Amino acid sequence: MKLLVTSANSRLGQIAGKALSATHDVTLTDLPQFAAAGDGVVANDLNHDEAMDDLVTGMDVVIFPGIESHTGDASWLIDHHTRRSYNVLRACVDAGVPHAIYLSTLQLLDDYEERLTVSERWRPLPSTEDEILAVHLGEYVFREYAREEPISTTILRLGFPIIDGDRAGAESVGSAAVATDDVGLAINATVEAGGDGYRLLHIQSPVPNARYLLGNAELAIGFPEQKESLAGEGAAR
Amino acid sequence: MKILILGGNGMLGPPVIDNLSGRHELRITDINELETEHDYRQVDVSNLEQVVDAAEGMDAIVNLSVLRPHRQIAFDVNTRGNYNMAIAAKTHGIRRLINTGPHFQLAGRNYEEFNFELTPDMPPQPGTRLYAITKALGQEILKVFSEHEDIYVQTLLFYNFYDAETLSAPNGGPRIGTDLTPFSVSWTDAAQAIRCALELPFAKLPSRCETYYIFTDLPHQKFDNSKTRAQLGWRPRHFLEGVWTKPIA
Ligand SMILES: NC(=O)c1ccc[n+]([C@@H]2O[C@H](COP(=O)([O-])OP(=O)(O)OC[C@H]3O[C@@H](n4cnc5c(N)ncnc54)[C@H](O)[C@@H]3O)[C@@H](O)[C@H]2O)c1
Repeated sequence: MKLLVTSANSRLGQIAGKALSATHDVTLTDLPQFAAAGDGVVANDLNHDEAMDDLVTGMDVVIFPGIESHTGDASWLIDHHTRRSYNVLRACVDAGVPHAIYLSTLQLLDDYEERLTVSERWRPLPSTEDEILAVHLGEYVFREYAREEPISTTILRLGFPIIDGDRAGAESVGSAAVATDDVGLAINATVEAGGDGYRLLHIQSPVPNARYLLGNAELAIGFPEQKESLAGEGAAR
Repeated sequence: MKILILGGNGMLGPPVIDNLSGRHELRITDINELETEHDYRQVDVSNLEQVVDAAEGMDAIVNLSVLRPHRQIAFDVNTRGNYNMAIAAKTHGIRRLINTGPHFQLAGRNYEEFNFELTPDMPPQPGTRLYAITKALGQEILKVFSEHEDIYVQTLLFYNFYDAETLSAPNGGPRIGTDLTPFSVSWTDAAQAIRCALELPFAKLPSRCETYYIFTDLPHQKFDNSKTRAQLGWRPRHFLEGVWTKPIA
């Protein structure tokens, strides 16, 4: 498939780009201030212009890193996650791109106590912290596009912290942690599964006493792996 | 009360200023120049520092600013403008924020084209129209701040405005027997709603973030303004009957 990853030189952009490149035809793009000549990343401001339209034309999926993307002050972050995501999605709709993925964070649900069965059915409780607020607004834009436009959007709310390496490493870090291997797995599986209207999926590594329920991800993309019992339950419904 | 008005030099600004003058001390701001007897400052709402400076010493902020069509500036004004207002409130301990916008930032196409008896307490569905979503994102920012700070946000939503005497709207008129968007109000009643919101004791607000539909009593039952009457104590004076009744020959 032909994929576009935005903010490709940010931490999460790099994780996504690396995970997808082995099996897909991936174009990496980043804002001009973050793209160096010769690094294989297309510089683009994600503005409302022809360059934006050209960038998404012919893509099957666009991946927009939200959390652990580039940082800036609150004004910059809000602008990036609202206006730029709006521009990307509008260009996708105009070019007939069928699916866009936003990489969000489970920190939006951090205010719920650990003992609660927090799933995608729980209302997000964003803080006013710059990045969290901006990512919450980014989700908002992706949701409205799925609601009203001929494009499917998937929000992957990633665990925290995001630690380099495999699941084993995540275990020692915290009950909400996600390993970069799992982030890659989830993004790949979401791309493969294709869009389906609006999807909201919680993704963390399957550590002991995992903080968040991953039922939607199990059913939609088989993450972390398809469990017989759950598959049966889903089929019975 | 000392009140900062943002975007006070548009269409709604003058009736609001008329209504509040003499009762409150006003600091009017806009990105444009304005001749006025009130304290006036040129303030760009998308500039955090300017908004924070202008809010010093104020008890309340009323945001009337809006920019509709431009793909950069709509976000700057309608979305980030509200962030700046929230930071100004937090910085100076201002507890009352009056926000304004169009009804479709909440009751977007997916509601309006399908349903009746629409209330202001529904979850917003602005859809993707630039004006609607940028205003809705601005509203969401205020909601998040109201959940974490001692800030009361009252959002007043409007759609069509009429001159009560001539039954003209900004895009023409008089409109006799043409029917109207069932979300219409006279300019003076709209301004009165802002006064009602400003003067409402906090204790009468069910939460720190409340939204109101501002339109006069109409027979359509498309939208429901009863919350505005009940909570704000707002009573429209103009019912615009000439527009929604047929002249009988
Ligand atoms: N007029 C309508 O038909 C209508 C309908 C529905 C809702 N509303 C809402 O009512 C409120 C008032 O609208 P209005 O009719 O007076 O709009 P308007 O366009 O007449 O006035 C908006 C004002 O905002 C100012 N402004 C624009 N950019 C600014 C910036 N960067 N910094 C500071 N000020 C800036 C403009 O100069 C103008 O004076 C808005 O929230 C609007 O969304 C209006």
